Amino acid sequence: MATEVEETIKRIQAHKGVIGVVIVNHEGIPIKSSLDNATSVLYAGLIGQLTEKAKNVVREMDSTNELTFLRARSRRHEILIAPDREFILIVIQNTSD
Amino acid sequence: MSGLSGYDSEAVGFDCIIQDPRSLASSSAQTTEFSEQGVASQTSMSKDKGCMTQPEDGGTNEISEIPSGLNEFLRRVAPAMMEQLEQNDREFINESSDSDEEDVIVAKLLQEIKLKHGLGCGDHDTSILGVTWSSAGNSIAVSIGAMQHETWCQNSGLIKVFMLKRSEERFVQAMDVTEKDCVSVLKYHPTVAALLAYGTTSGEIVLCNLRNGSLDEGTQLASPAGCHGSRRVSALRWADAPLANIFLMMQITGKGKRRGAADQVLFSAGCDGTLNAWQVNADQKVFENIVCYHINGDQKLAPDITCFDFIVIYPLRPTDEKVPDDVFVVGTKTGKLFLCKIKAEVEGVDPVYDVLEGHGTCVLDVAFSYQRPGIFVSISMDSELRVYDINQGSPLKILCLDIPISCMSWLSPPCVVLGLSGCEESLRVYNVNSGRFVPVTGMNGCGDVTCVSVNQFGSCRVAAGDSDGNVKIWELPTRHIKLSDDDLDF
Repeated sequence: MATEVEETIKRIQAHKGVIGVVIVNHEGIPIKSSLDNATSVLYAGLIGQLTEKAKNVVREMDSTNELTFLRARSRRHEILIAPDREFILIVIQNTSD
Repeated sequence: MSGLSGYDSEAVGFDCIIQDPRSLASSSAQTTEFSEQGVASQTSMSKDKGCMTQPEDGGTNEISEIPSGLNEFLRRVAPAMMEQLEQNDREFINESSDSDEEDVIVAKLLQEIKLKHGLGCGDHDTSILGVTWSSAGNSIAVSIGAMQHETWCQNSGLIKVFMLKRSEERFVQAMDVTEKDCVSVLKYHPTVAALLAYGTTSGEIVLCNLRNGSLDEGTQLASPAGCHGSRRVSALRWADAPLANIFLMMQITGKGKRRGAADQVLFSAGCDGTLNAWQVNADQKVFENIVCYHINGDQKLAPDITCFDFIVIYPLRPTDEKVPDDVFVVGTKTGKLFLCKIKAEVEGVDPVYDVLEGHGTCVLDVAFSYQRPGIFVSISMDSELRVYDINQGSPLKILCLDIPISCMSWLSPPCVVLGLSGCEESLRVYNVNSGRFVPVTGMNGCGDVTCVSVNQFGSCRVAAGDSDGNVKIWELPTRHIKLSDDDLDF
């Protein structure tokens, strides 16, 4: 099982432009990361808050709806966020060629 | 029991109800005062959980055990994540950035070919007069000769044909074609492989079938003598299939000529003010004139034609967007632009129906847009780039460039590549819709550029020849050129 998790993370990490993968649990703690500790904790905290806010926005607009994916694009990077009940998958991708 | 009355009956017994009345007692309760009491409880829990990262090469940071549910979570979200990443790949290629900053595009120099022509020839005989790509981009033909002739051409012409050697990914010389006069223009057919046409300074047009990789007997066909008044052929164009059809039908209906399946139509224009349409077939050895137009012939003022182009035919356009498909434009040395219509009448007909407000000096090139019907671009010797609509007499746009330009080719609308002379830069890319130049690095190092040709089969490759006898080939990542919605409509 550990191998499968590692393989999945490696597959995502190997995609063109991906510079980091972080998996955060429901407590906002990074449990797997390809980045350094400080960066992982920073992303986990900030992205966790952003995800929670986005979830609330979607639910407020339509209570039968739910957030499935979130992308935040900036000049240098794009942060792709896949939230779930127990975990959040965060992928940071380089947008410039 | 005699003597009883008639009402005698059996004795009945019945229950005896004894009522024992008691006073009712009721009780009620009334709450006069109440108080609320609640017990609050707060659970606070803290858990110390460290995330110790040990420096590892390329590894992931993790705690020792896999939390339960993580595998299932990744199985659920990983496919969607990969799909989004792949969507990003496509978006980054096509989508323009919100940023105003333009990323600089880097052109990669693939090859430089230095050519020298003949022994004992002066420097003026080593200019590249023309360069053309084959349809599949695996061959380049280059014409070498003298740029200027004081009277008539006394030089011999030379065409060098280069083929792509796949193993080395470079062009190697395959054959030479010699002519008694300088070859002023040459053009590979855009779709038929190995079919090369060229025009000379003495008005001759020659068709070469290079399929066998050599010039055996019968692989060259020449135009009838005396066409273009034995003066320089200034421009050549191959007709695409719909345009060829129009002229071949003209040949059938007008002259009763038979039509071969492999017939092609070639146009040539000369300094004598004539534009010829030729029916050619390399296999059947056919080289016949369909029609000869005398540009502005009605005015008895034959212009020195420098360039021409036919409108691109768009059969799938909606009715209200249809434009005429029988129009062509002719550029001249004086700067005039003649709008002409295809006519099927007798020889020597003047096809001009309108004269546009032209340039002030010699028109170097004209080219219709592949994207917008009726729109064409022209450049002139005084560094002007103009955009015209055939339905309007005045230009839609005039760009006065601050650099001397010599030649032009469409990349993909709205971008054109311009050959420069007298600059460190050899080529420059312009977005004719926005009027801005597209920053591209790496396209320099040529002398005065004399000709440019673009091939978009596979990747975009630009070949440019200069006055020093050099040919350079670049690969240009045109997909990196950022286009706005307005540009895409151009």
